[in-house]
Amino acid sequence: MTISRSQSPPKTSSPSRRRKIIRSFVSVALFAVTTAIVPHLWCGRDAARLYRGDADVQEGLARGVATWIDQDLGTDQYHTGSSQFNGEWLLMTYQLAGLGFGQTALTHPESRARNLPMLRKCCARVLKPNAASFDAAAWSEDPVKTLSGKNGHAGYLGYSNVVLSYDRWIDPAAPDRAVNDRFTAALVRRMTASPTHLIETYPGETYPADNCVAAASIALAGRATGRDYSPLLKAFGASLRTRYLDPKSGMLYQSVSSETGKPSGAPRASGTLFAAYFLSFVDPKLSADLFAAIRRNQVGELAGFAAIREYPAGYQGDMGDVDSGPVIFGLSTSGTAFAIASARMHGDEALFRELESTLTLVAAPTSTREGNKFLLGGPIGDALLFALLTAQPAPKEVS
Amino acid sequence: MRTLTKRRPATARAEIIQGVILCVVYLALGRWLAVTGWMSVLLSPSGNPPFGVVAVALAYILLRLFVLLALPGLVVVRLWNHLSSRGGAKANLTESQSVQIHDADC
Repeated sequence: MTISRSQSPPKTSSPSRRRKIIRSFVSVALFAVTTAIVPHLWCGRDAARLYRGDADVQEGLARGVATWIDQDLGTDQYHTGSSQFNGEWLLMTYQLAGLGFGQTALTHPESRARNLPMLRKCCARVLKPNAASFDAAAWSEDPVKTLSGKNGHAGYLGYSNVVLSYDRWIDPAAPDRAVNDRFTAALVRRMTASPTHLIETYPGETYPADNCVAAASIALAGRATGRDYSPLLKAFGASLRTRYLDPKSGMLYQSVSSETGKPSGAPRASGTLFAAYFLSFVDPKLSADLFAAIRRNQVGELAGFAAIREYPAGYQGDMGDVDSGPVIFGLSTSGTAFAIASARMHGDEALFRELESTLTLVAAPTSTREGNKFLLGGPIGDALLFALLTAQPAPKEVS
Repeated sequence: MRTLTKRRPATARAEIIQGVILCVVYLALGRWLAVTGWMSVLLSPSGNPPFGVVAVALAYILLRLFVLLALPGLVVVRLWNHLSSRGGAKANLTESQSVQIHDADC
């Protein structure tokens, strides 16, 4: 009896088929729910500590970047395919690393003994001839030897001066204050004389975002020395608002005509958010407005991850350039990274967490004995993220 | 039924071994890329890095996306399938046993 019953064929397949369908449905649902919850929680596990600016995470980043700065980098470290861009990246590595060390020293005064010497090292490196060679090659003149001249040199003077000014701001006894005075004076004179309130980065090339860096260097120098640059900085801020913001999207045009100041490039997230970071030293309200414009229209969110679209509605661009990094499905690599600083500076913790999750997913942070680095970073990426992740609103008592 | 109960632990073991190998390869590749710093070439759209470097870096990124985005969901689904089929097998076993007992009584 037992044998005959156990050998008999199943009565019908419909219950097992129904069970199979239910199992498939539950499997898909479980996969979807797990994927919507676990990856972003895992990737964003350090977001709260980064947002708070905990000393150990900032120090970890500082130690990682210090390994690059101690190497005394050269342009051969970069592989952009252009000697000009390699030179820009070398200068930016020192500039951003210096800002990161300065911000960390300011946030955690107990770390000054470690971070201030690193900031000084960055100041010394931006003044070396190899940091200025890309600018000298583009202008066919040395930017330091022609400070009394008319040419803009925003690409070198603005970027190097901002780290010199920052150093002087947090320590008035900074060793390079005489150079800082000369660079600041040249920038002030050239921006004041310009009918567009903008100076050229290279001959025939004017970028509002680069001018925000120059303006930040002037504002920080003013805070450090007590000199009043507010007439120029107010005029600059007003000019940005009225002439260089796209009225529809509220974003900054990437490039403008050197002669007329008319937009020659689309408004872009990478330039807007880069400018928002530096404008926090000049005009915090304008910085907040730029971030609000990005927050309104450019944020793409999915399953707890966020990224920034490079172009606003109505504009189309290519697959990326040296400013934006690769643009994948319209999402900007640099813009997403720059947005982290604005989210922290302007108190948007929810967006900060989502952006940091994306950063962890894509840039692959790694912890080594030397410190924390990003696998996708290299010297420029590590320095950039160090500056952005430690970005602070300007302290009210100093501004 | 005997064949099934013998195969299942072997399949589960194979899956665990595959998962461990995947994670070891992923971590080793990440560590190697961290030391060489070659991942950063992907940030240079106009650059001309060696094909092998780009291939390894892209392989790492794809592996990373798989491990971080898809693997948790796949593990949960696999675990649920495993547990639910065990529950189903137990239920079947209980049913056939009760039939046997019932038939023996008859």
